[in-house]
Amino acid sequence: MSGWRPALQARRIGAAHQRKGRPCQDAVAVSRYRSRDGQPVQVMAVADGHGGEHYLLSDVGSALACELALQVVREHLGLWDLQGAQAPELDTWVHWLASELPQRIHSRWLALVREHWQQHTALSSAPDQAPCSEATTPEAEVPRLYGTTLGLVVMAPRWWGYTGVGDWDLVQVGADGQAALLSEELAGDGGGEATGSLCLEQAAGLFRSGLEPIEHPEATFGLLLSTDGIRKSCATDADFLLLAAHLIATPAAGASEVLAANLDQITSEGSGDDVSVAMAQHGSLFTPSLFRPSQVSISEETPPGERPIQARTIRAQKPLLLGALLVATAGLGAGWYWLQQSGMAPGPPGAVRRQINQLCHGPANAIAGTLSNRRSQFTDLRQGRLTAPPLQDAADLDPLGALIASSFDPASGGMVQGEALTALGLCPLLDAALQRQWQPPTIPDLPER
Amino acid sequence: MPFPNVRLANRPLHFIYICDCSGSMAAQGKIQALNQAIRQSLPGMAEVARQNPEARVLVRAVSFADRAVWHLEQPTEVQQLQWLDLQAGGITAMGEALELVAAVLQSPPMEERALPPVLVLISDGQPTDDFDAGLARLMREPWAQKAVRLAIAMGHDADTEVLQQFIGSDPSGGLPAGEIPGASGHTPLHRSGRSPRRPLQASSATSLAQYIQWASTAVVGAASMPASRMAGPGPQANIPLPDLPPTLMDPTDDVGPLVW
Repeated sequence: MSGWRPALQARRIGAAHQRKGRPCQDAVAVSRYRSRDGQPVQVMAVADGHGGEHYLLSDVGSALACELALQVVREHLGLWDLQGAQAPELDTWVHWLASELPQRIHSRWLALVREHWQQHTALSSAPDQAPCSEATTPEAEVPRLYGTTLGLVVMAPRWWGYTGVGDWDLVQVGADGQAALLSEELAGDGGGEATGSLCLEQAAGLFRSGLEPIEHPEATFGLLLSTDGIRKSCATDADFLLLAAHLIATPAAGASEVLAANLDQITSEGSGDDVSVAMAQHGSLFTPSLFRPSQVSISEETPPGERPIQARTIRAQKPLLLGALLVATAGLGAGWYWLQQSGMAPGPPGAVRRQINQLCHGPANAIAGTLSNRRSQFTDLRQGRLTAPPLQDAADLDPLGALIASSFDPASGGMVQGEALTALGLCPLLDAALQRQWQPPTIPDLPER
Repeated sequence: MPFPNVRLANRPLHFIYICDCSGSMAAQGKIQALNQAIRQSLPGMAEVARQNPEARVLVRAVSFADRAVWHLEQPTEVQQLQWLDLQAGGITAMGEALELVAAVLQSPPMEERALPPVLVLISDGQPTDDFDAGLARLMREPWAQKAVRLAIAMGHDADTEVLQQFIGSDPSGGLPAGEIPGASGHTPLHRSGRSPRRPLQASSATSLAQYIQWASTAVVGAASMPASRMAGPGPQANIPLPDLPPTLMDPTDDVGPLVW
C-alpha cells in the first residue's frame, strides 16, 4: 500500500500534573482534508501549554492552537491544487510553511485568545462567581496567559512539510526501523526551561519549518511529532529515538489503549510532564493494519465514501439505533416515573458523577481548559456527527465524554435545561463552563458535509 | 508488544552550595550557624525530593577560603546526605570556587536531560582573588546560564555587588543591591527590598536558616517540576521562583538589633 495512512494521536496528563491536580496542558489533533483538486492531505499538530502561574490559561491556548492550525491549513488547501498544471511549485509550499502559515496562525491565535479572554473575564465577573485573580491583567499581557508551543506536520501525496514554534520534536522512522531527529528547538539564550511560544510578539519569526518531497510513491517511512515531555523522559536522545520507533510501530489492535499505557509509563517513570504524540506512516512501514481508521479525528473532511469506518457503521445502523432508542426512551421514561414516585431525582451514572465531583472540586481554572480540549465532541454533537447514547454508554471509559453527551439537548442543539439540568447536579462553575461551551463557538463550526 | 528497552529516567536536579569559609566566618558564630542551617534544612529537602519523584535531587558543596575545594564532591542524593561541618580560616577565593563549579557544569558530566541546577553562593565578605575571571568562566557554561543562582549575604560586610553579579541583573528593576528601602529617600518604605533575584541579607542565624530552608525546599520544589516558559524577557527567572519567607531580622520587617 502506498500513500499516507491515517494518523494516530494520543495525549496523557503528566504524572506530576495529575498528582498536583493540575490540568493537562498538552493538546493534540489530527485530521484529513482535500485540496482543491481533491488530493488527500493529512495534518497533525501538537501543542504544549507552558503551565505555571504566569500562563494560567495555557491549556486553553494549546487547544486553540491545535484546532486553529488545522483550520488554517484546511482553508489554504481548499484554494490550491496539489497536482497538475495549476499546482504550485514546491518552493511555494516551502515559503508557505516558513512564512505565510506561521504569520496566519500567529495573528489568528492572538485574536482567538483575546476573544476567549473577554469571554473568560465576563464569565468570571458574574455575580455568583469568585473573583478572577488574573482579571487585572493588562491587555498586552493577555496572550502570555495562554502561552503555548505548536508543532504542525502537513502530509500531501508528493511532499510533506512541518512548521511550528517551541520545543516540540519531529522524528522520522525509516523502513529499516532506524529513527532520526528531524527537527528540534535549538538551545537559545533564554535559559532554564525557556522555549519559543505563540504568545511572543515575534513568534511568527521563531517558527522552524521544512519540506521534504516524496520522490517515490512506494516510499515507506513514519513521522512522529511529540511534545517535549516524551524526549525529556528519556535518559538520552538515543533512548528517545528508540522509543519513537517503538511508538510508531504500535499494533492496530487496541492501539489507543496501548499508546495510552505507553505514554502513562513514559511520564510516570520519566519527566512527569504531560506527554502527547501524533504520528503517521507513508506506505506499509510495518503491519498492513497498523492504524485504525477510527483513530482519525472525527472532524476530518473526506468525501462520504471515505468516511471513517466508525462513522459509516453508526450511519448504517441508524434504523436499529432508532428502534433501540425508542425502547430505551420508553424504559427511561418508566424509570423516571418510578424515581419521581420514589421521590428521587434520576442522577447521572456513577462514573459521570465522579467526573462532575472531580471537576467541581478541582482547580476552578481547570474546568474551562478540560472542556475546551473536548471541543470536537461539542461540535460534533451539535452538528449531528456524533450522537449522545454511544458516549453515555461508554461512561466508564470516557466519563467526560459521557458528561458532555448528558449535557446536550438534541432538540435545541444546545445545553439541557430545566429538570434534566438539575438532575445532572452540576456545581455553578461547571454549569457555567458547560453553558459557555454549548454557546456559538469561538472558532466557527466546521461546515456540514 | 513489550515496552522497548529504553532508559526512562527522572531528571537530575543538581543543587550546589558554594560556601565562604574564610577567617571572618569564624567570628560571631557564622560558620556554626551555616553548618546548623544546612543540616537542619536536609529533612525538609528530602521531603520535597520525595514529593517530586520526577526529579532526582543531588547535592554537592564547595568551600572556599585560601583555596576552593570540594567539600562534598560526589553528587549525593539528599536522602543519603550526612552533612560534615565546614571549618573557617583563610582568605576568600570566591573566583576559584566558581571555576570549580564551572567544571562540573560542563556536558558531560552534566546529563542531557538535567533540570536547571540550583547554585547557592553564601558569603560574608569580599573575594580576594579574581572574581570576574571565575564568574566569566562559570557563565561560559550553558548549564550555569540556565541555573537558578541564589546568593546569601551573611552580615552587612558581604560584598553584595559581587553577589548580584553572580545572580545576574534583577529583571524586575528592583532596588540596587544592598539598598534598604526608604534609606535613600528615592524609594518608599513599604516597597520590599527583598527579592530572590537580589542577594538575600541574612543578619542572624535565624534569617540565615530561613533562607537556607527556603532555598532547599521551596526553590528545589519549584525547580523539580518547572513549567516551561516563553523565551526572551519574561516575568520570571529561569524558573518561577517562589516567594521569599518572612524574616524577622530583615530590615524591612523588623528593627531589631543586627547580630552580624
